[in-house]
Amino acid sequence: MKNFEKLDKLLRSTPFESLSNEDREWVEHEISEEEYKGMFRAIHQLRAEKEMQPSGRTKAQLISLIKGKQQSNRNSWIYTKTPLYANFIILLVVIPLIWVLLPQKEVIVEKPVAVNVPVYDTVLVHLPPDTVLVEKTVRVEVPIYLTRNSEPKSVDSGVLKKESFAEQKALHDLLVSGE
Amino acid sequence: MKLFRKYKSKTDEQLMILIKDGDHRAFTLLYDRYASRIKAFFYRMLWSDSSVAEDHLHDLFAKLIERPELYNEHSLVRPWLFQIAHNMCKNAYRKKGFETQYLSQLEEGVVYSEAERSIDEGFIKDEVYKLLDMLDEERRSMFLLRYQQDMSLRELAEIYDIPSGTVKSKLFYIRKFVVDRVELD
Repeated sequence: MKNFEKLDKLLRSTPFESLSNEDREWVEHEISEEEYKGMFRAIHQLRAEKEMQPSGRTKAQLISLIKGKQQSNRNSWIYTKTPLYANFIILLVVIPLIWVLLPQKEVIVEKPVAVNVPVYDTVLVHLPPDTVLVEKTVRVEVPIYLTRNSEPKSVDSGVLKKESFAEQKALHDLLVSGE
Repeated sequence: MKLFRKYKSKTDEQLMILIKDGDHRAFTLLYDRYASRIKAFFYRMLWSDSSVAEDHLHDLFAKLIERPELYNEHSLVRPWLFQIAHNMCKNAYRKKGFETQYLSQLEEGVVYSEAERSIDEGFIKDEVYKLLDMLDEERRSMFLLRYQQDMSLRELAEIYDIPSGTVKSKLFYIRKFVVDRVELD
């Protein structure tokens, strides 16, 4: 086998004509000159075609194949590697966050509240000269509406306006009759 | 550019690990390092047919993209690639064997003229083709890997999964076989 390695090395490197006298003698002892030359030629012909240029199309196809696989790997990571509950938890966190961060619309709540507003009013009644003039204070309960973020309504105008003629008539009758 | 230089300094094994993660730059670099050599190997293994060699080259690297997990991180990339190439050639021979058998059954009784036959043979056969044609598939592949691709005995041992001593003795007999039959001028 030592001979194998030596002959192998010579065949791969040196043509017969360039062998030293000693190597030439040794080679002729192992194989004939013609056999060495034939083998050397065959090996060198093979080595000359060690590389063969592949087509650019093959390379382009392969690169697009690996890029496509890279993309599908990314997608599968999103759809398969993350468990379903993780996506659900993300939703649970994100939705309230959006709810908090969005500007709130002003909410106006209107509800009727009964408030005791003392109203003092004097009713002047024109009667015959012998009649006693009576002044009476009237206390009225007026419902008003309270609205958040708004100025309170003035009370007096509403109260006075709400006194209809019929109400005044009723008051007049009361005073005149004295009942 | 800096990134590309960084890739260039990586070993085949490091590139292969990146390819496992789907890195297309690493793949491009590994392809550039080996595609032309593997094609040359396929060309001589597969009847000196350039288009067949190109198809097999494509299939080999496509396999590498589709199933990079087949690569064992402790083994060397170069012998691994040529091992795949060798196995693909074995499959191609098997397929060709079936096809030839089928065609010979179909062509039974069909006689080709001498002129047709000599044109076909002259078209495809050069000196190296004739030399390789004398060898069976395993000897041919080992001969090519040793003398065309300059593979070391250790790499050949890895490809064929045999001890280095066995590789040496096989090569010895292959060379003896070739020397006995080589065409002399």
